[in-house]
Formats: sequence, structure tokens, C-alpha cells
Amino acid sequence: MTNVRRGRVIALSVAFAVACILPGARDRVEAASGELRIGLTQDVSTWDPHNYLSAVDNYVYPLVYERLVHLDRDLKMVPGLASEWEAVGDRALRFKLRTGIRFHDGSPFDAQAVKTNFERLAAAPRARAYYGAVDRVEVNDPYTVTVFTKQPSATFLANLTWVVGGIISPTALQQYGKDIAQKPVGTGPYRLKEHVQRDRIVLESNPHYWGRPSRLARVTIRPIAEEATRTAALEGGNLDVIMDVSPHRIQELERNPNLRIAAGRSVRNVYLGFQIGDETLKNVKLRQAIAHAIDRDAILRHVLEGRQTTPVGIVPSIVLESRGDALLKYDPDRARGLLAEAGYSRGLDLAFWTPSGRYLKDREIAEALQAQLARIGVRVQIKVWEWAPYMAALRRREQQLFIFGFNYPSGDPDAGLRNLFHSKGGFPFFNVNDRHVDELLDKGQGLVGVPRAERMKLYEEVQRLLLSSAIAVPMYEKRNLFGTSAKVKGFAPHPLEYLDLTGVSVE
Amino acid sequence: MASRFAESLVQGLVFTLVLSLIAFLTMAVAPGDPAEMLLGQDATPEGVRAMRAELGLDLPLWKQYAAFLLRLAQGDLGRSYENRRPVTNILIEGLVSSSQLAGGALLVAVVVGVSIGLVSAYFRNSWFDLTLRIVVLMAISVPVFWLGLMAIYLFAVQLRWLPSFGRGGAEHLILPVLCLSSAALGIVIRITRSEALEVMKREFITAARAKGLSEIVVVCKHVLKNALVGLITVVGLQFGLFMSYAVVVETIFAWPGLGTTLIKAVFSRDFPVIRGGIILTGAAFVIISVATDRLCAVLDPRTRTA
Repeated sequence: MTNVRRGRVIALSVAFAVACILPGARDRVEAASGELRIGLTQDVSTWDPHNYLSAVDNYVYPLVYERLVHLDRDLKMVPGLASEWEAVGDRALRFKLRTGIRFHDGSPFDAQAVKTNFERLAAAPRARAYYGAVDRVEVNDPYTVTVFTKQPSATFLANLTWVVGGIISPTALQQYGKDIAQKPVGTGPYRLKEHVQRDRIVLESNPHYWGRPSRLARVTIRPIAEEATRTAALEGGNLDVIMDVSPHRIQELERNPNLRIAAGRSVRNVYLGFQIGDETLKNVKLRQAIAHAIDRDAILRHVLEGRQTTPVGIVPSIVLESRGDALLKYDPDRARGLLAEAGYSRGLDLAFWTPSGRYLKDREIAEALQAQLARIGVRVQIKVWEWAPYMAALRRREQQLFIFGFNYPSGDPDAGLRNLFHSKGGFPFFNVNDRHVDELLDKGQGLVGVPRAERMKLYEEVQRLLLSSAIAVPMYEKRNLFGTSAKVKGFAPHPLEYLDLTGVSVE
Repeated sequence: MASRFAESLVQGLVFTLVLSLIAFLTMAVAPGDPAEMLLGQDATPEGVRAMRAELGLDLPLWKQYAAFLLRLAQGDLGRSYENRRPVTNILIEGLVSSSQLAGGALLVAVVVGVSIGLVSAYFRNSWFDLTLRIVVLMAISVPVFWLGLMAIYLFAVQLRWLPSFGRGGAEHLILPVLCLSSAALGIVIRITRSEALEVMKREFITAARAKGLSEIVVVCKHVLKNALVGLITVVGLQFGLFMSYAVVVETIFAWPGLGTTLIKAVFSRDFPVIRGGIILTGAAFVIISVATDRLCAVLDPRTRTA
């Protein structure tokens, strides 16, 4: 090769390398007036709420999609796209819909749109647990629709508040088919302007929104998995709001005059679970002994830095009020006595499974529990799992002790209790096959027209049964911890773990 | 030369084929069912069966592999289980993003590292050389993730000179590129110094000086050109390790690159993305290897075959 040709090759190589490096023309995302920049832990996986994939997807859906009915921050049911509703017998609900609402693509929201969506939801695998009860939907007139359920269901109306039931434009469904997963079209206060995968989501205010006008022209969402980076972005002024602030950073952030911590109650509890189908753990006294050996307060204070809430029961307190007297208290002497009565006066060995990073300080909690149980002679071997195989293994019921969390997305106790503790529940990890529990839960479902307070007594009874026999030990009631810039006004976490930006503004 | 290129191409294709089989079989035996992951709490046995049928996972393994190869031959890597987007699009986006980061870091590492290495070799055993060798040792020892977090804290949080994360304008590249370049800088300096010292002992260098060429021309043209051959070979071999550091940097700086794409796909058992990523990465290795050979041949005619 001649010198000239060699030189050309080298020059072209360098030019190619430089061309690869130079970033293309990209918009610089800086805070503009009326723009809110939010850092979440991961990107939105799909914009099809009926086939949602992660809890973070649910955080964002309510900005774009709405349901017929919503739950406010006190979990009180309020009108959404439906202005009023009434029961028709014990197997139907009739909804009067708001008029004049249009989807982001301009097509009208009406009773036919509700019918299309409910039928789609009833067939969607991930929504079936809540919408599978739908038998048929009748369009009475353009703005009246009646939904019939297969069985009487006292929880059906509450199920409709779940964010997964967002109403999608039927025109868009027909036009895009499965690609609706990348092209959201709802009625919400924001519409999608841009989604650069794993980099940013840009939502712009919906100028034709029927409800309270947004005070934000634009909402930019950035997925940042690394907690330290997310917090640094808030501290450095690159973000205005971040989710899931680590407890050990809160004190430091609170000292920063430019930042605030927004904390709120949640509909999620985290448990130490017992797989009671296991030969050893069938023993109620053994389980009660373990429950009494757990110093929950110490874990809340030292592992969770006092930033999470003491649970009052299996169900989070915002969903089911309880005095908390059914919880088995920390009492190591009683624990040792029960252990001896159970036939394990010399102690025993158990397997303890936990995911890592799925729940706040899950591994650290497992390690703390290991130390506490060792004091009464229960030696646990911790096995840390990656989430995907963890769920598969839990479903095979190979576990003994395990850490698991669950939320109650419809604000009703039935949501979690049925899934976790009914013999036909979707999460049979505790392996509870108790006819009495099943009967109580089925009875609760059938109490149509009964005042909520009456129904709740029944769920309190279920809760007492489960706690007294130590099927699950609630470790903490989650508090949603967000960090915000002091310039952000009106932001508060929603208990249902989604972004509610009503009334939020940025100075 | 053409036959050597053809030989490399055939080897590359065979390697990619073997890699595709390994990728396929690995996913087949890995714990965690994609259908269960996608269905979550609604993963009833019937639902899982239906989802597996929809994803084609209920077919015998050999049929799945045959269908996969057929699509691969047409350049189709399938669609993501998660969001149904074409895997090719997902991977190309990640590759472009990672190339910016990795290319920039490599450029900085080579330009800075070669310069320092040459100076260090020229002034060997001086205070500058000794100090530099200590600094290089420290640079090699410091974990990349720690360096990244410290850089964010200093330049983004305290000084507010630079953004702390994400992709955007040129200023978004500075911290992640500098952080990633540190992973390669140490070895580039050491190899350059070592090669340069070796070259400087050669007779042709003495002859060049005897001819009256200036020290700058001797070092920057003759020593550098001969030292680069060894450096390029080592950098090519280190490429895999360098990309593993790139994944760490992408995570720290929330840089939407190929590494973080593949990590997410592994956690969510998104088989098509994982398989496509493994094949793409393997193909990248083959290309880097061939490119390294070609570049060495350009720089050193003695390495060319007839």
C-alpha cells in the first residue's frame, strides 16, 4: 500500500470514529417555565395499560389515560369519566358518562368506547383478575352504559379504579393494533409527545382536557435505575422530582434548603411469609414462635431508618383501618416457650428466601431477621434470588420462609387478601388452603349493597385469622418517599402509587 | 489479501452461527419463564400455556431454533416480548448510543494515553516517569463506578458545571467519557511506554538520529508508528473488558446504551433481545478483531501475508 493510500485509510478511520462520537442534534432538556422533570426508577415498558408490565408503567398511565371512577388521596371514590353510577340489581352497574370529552386523537369518548375497552380488559390476561368478572356490556345510549357481571360482586366498582383499566381510544386501537403499546391515545391531562426508549418520555399538556387545566406545559420523565445518580440529579438541579429516595439519604436531603421530601401513605405492605404447606411450617406454634421472635420496631428503626410505617395488619391501614392488636408482639420469652411446645427446644434450621433490590432493603431485612431468629435457636440460611426465578420458585412452593410485598391497587382489602390467601388466588405462595378463609372472602365479595363499614368487619376477621395463626408477619407498611425541588408546589405522592400532578406547578 | 479477508468472513459467519446456538440453548435452560414474567400476578397455568403458545415457546426446541435461524438469515431478530418492538431497532438504538460513549472514551484514552506513554518512555526513570507510573497504578485500581459517582458529586452536584446523567448535548458526554476512558487509560499508557522503550533501542532509531532528524520527528513519527502496532493488538484484545466497564458507566450515568438494554432484557427474560444482543456483541468482536488485523497490516507491512 502506498503512503498516500495509507494516509487516506487512516484519515477515513479517524473521521469515522469522530462521526460515531459526535452526538446528533438533540434537544437539551432544561427546566423551562411550566415544565416538570421527574426521575423514575425505570422506563415505561408499554403504553398499553390493559397489558401493563411493571409497577412503574402504572405510575405514568393516569397522566394519559383515565378510568370511569377514580380514588382520591384518601381512597374515596370520585367520578372520573363517569359522572354518576347506580347499581342495577346485584349484578350490574349503570354509568352515566361525561359528555363532550375527546380522546387525544380527536375521536369522541362515549358509551361504545367504554364497551370496547371493557371487553378488551375482560380478555386481557393481566387484567382478568379484576375485569374477568365482566359478563357483558350494554350501550343504553351514547352516554349511558350498563356493565353486567357474571356473579354478584361487591368489589367490582372498586376494581374499576385500578389504573390498568384506563380507557383507550377505540379508533387508535383499530388503527394501531398491538402497536398501541408505543402509541398511547387516552383522554388524560397529558398526551405523549416523544418517547426515546430508556432515555426520556416527554408529555405535553392536553389543551382540550375536560377537567382541571394543568399548570404544567410539559412533563419530562427520565428513567434512572441507579439511586445515587437519581438523587444526585435532584441535588444538582437536573430533575425536579425523584421517586424512591433511599431512607439513609433523607436526613441529608432535608437539610438542603433547595429540596423537600414528599412522603405519603401507600397501599403496599411487605411481609415475612410462611409457606405453610411445608412439613415443618405446618406447625402453628412454630410459626407463632418465629412471629414473636421478630423485633419489628428495631428493624424499622435501624434498617429502615425510621422512614417506613409500623403495620397494623396484613392490609395497609389506609385500605383497612385496624387497631393493630391482632399483630403478634415481640416477646422472645414467649417465642422460646412456643418453640419448645412445638417440639424444637433444641432449635432448628430453616431456609429463608429473599429477592435483592425488589423491596426496600429486602436483603438487609432478611439479615436482621436471621440475627433475631438466631437468638431463640432458629437458624435460617438466607438465599438471595433474582426476581424472575424467585417468582417461578415461589409458585412451585419450594420455599419455607420468604419475603414478599403486595399492594392493593383498587383500595379494597379483597384485592390483596384474595390474591394471597384464597385457595384460588393468583399468588398462592403462602399455600393457604383454608375453607373458612375462602368462605369469608367469598362472602365479602357477595355483600353487594352492604355499607363498606360492614364489609370491612369481615375482612378484619380474615386478617385476625391470618395473623393469629402466623401465616404472614407484616414487616412494614410502605411510605412513598419522593424528593422534590423547593420550586415544585403542590406535589404529593398518591397512595395508589401513581403520579397525580393535579395542581402541581414549578416556580 | 482478498482471500485472507474472505477467510476472515467465513470464520466470522461460522462463529456467529455457533454463538447463535449457544445463545439459544442458554435461554432455553435459564431459570425464569418469560410467559410468567409477562403475566405477573395473572400467571394462571392456563394463562401461562396460552402465552407460551403466543410466543412460540410451546414448540419443540429444534423447531424454535430453526424458525429463529430462518428469521436471522433474513435479518429479522424477532420482536421484544415486553414491548413488541423489533429487536433490530432496539439493538441499533443501543449500539449507536454505546458507540458514542465507547468511541469517545477510546479516543480520549488513546490520544491522552499514547501522548503520556511516549513522554514517559522518552524521559524514562525521571521523576516524571516514576510519578506517572504511580498515578497509572492508582488509575487502574480505582473502580470505575466509584469514579463515576465521585465525578457526578463533584461536577454535577457541587460545582453544577455538567449534567449528572442521560444523553443530550455534548456536555452530557464529558463525564461518562472521562470516566470510561480511565478504564483504558492506564493500560494504554503502560503498553505505549513499554513498546516505545523497546522501539527506541532499535538501530533504525539511531540511524534516524544520525541522519539529523529532530527528536520530535524521531519520536512522533518513527517510534510512535512502530509502538502503535503492539498497542492496537492489546486494545483489540481488551475490547471485551472495556465493554464490561461501559455497562457500569451506562448504569451510573443512566446512559441508554446496549449494555443497560441487555441487562434489563436479562432481568425480564426478554429472550429475543438477549439472543439478538449476544449475536450482535459476538459479531462486534469479530469485526473488531478483523479491523485490528487490518489496521496492524496498514501500519506494519511486515505483518501482511503475500
